[in-house]
Amino acid sequence: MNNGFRRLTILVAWALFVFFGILVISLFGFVSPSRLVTVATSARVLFSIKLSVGAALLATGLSLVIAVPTAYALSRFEFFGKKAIDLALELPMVVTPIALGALLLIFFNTRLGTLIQQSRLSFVFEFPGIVLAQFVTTVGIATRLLKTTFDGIPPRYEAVACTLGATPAQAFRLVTLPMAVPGILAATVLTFAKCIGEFGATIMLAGSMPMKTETLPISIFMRLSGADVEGMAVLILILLTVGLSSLALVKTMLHTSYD
Amino acid sequence: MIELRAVNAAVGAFRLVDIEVAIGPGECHVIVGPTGSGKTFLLETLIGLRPLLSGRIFIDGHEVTDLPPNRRGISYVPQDTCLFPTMTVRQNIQFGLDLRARSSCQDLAFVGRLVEFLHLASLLDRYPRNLSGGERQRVALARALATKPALLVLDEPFSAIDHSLREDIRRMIKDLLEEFKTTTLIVTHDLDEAFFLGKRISIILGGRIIQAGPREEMYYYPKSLAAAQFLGIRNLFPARVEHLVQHEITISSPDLERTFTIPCRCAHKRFTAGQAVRFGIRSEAVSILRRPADPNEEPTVFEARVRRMFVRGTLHTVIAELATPQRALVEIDLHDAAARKIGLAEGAHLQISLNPRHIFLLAEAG
Repeated sequence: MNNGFRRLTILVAWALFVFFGILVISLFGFVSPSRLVTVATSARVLFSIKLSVGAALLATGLSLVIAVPTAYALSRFEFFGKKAIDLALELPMVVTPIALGALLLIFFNTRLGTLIQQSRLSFVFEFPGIVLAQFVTTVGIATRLLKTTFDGIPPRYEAVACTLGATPAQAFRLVTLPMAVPGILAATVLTFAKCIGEFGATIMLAGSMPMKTETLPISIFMRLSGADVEGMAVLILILLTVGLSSLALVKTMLHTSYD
Repeated sequence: MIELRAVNAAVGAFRLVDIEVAIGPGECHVIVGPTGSGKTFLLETLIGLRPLLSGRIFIDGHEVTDLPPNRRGISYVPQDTCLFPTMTVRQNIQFGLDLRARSSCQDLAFVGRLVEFLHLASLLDRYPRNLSGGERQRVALARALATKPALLVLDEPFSAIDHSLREDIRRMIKDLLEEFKTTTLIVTHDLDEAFFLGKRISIILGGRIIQAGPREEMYYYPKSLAAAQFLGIRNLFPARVEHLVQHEITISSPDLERTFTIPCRCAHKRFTAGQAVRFGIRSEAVSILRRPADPNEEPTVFEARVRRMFVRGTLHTVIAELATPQRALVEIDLHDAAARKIGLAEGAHLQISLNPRHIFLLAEAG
């Protein structure tokens, strides 16, 4: 390969890395160790971390419970409405999270939505609203990731299992699912990272009430609104640590093929 | 006894048409055909992965047409073996037995016999990713046989194996099937494999079985031009039926400028006097005469000249040009030692003889 071209592409890659590096390093200009400890251990921030992690765990679990069978069906079977479902998965990617949140808010103002709100499980400006907002924005991505995983496992494995006496459900549970574990773990971590960072849909549906619905990203926004740049920088660092460590985990799990 | 009766199935525009296969107990039947002829599709239909448009499938007298794959008693080994990568060799082999509520002592003893026969004892705790192609094939066979299936189905069993190991694995499979008397159906595109393993062979082309029969019959007596061409028979010549007597048929060949009589069972059912036909003979059924014979006395003896020679390892293929006005070409296969003994070289003159017992006739339309 042309040496000059090789150098140019590597230079662009490094420039991108340096750009992001400068952004992160610039945070440290606003963070002193004492301030980091004060903000990170404040009751409000600790609540936000707990709330974010709790909601993200629930939303991730919910996303996977729906995404695994959906992805499997889309990967393995031909059925009526398959293309429509496939298209619907793109909704969170083509509509901004704010619009998705607004969509949820509008739904809870319909007759059916009001009925749900009046039941025991209330979503608007409540914790379940955070989980729902995160679920709606991530379930499509989780399904896409898992479909790719199932696509990478040839159906012949299940066929062999069936000829050995397994029912289709047993073949899925005993053969396909264990083979899909690396992909499922990767989807879990990515979904979790996306949930932790979710802002637009959450603030629209659950609001930004301190010590109630204030997640980490919302807390960052609130600190910025209150001109507390130091506090905001600390929260961004916390969010970066959680997000990047999740993604680093994903990198070690991807690229597993059995074909 | 495994029977496929008038099976029709379709995937996209491709169709399996009126498939008839009968496999006797303990028999090894090979379906051979080129890529895209419908071999794997036929297997998937037999296993129950594809629905039938019409037709019926019987295993040991019981109809299994509408049964799901897990209740048919057919074990399947795909061409890439599909060993379960998250399980050890032991877990793979016992997968079918573990699904059962309980495995009897006989079942476990049978698995032990399989493990011993296939030399798998030292591999039991390994994972498939640490096995060679041959080892994978042996594990896949043990896994498939562990449940004592009514039918073992192998899809291109040697395609993923290095050429150097193929002969060993072929012999091992032949020995295994004979030892355990397993009724087996193999699909392959490889004629060598088909004739090595199959007691009976079916040729599939374009979703139709164009000929089925015992190995020797299939080898020397294709019943259609398509079958002859698929079997790689190049010595095919136009001819005309002159007359038929009992189990003999006399034909004349304008290319060879000869009239000769050949044995032909059921000649009256297949041919009529005056009918345009083709006659053919396998290249290894053509012999080079070392003692001169009189072509006028022997109608299947011809004067010829070596036009071209190809050497493939120990096998020589000679293209001989007959000393007839049409200069018809006849292909002859012979071994290296025989070729050396005769001192064959391009341009050499020789006499060749077509063995009348191995000449076959094809209806021209076939």
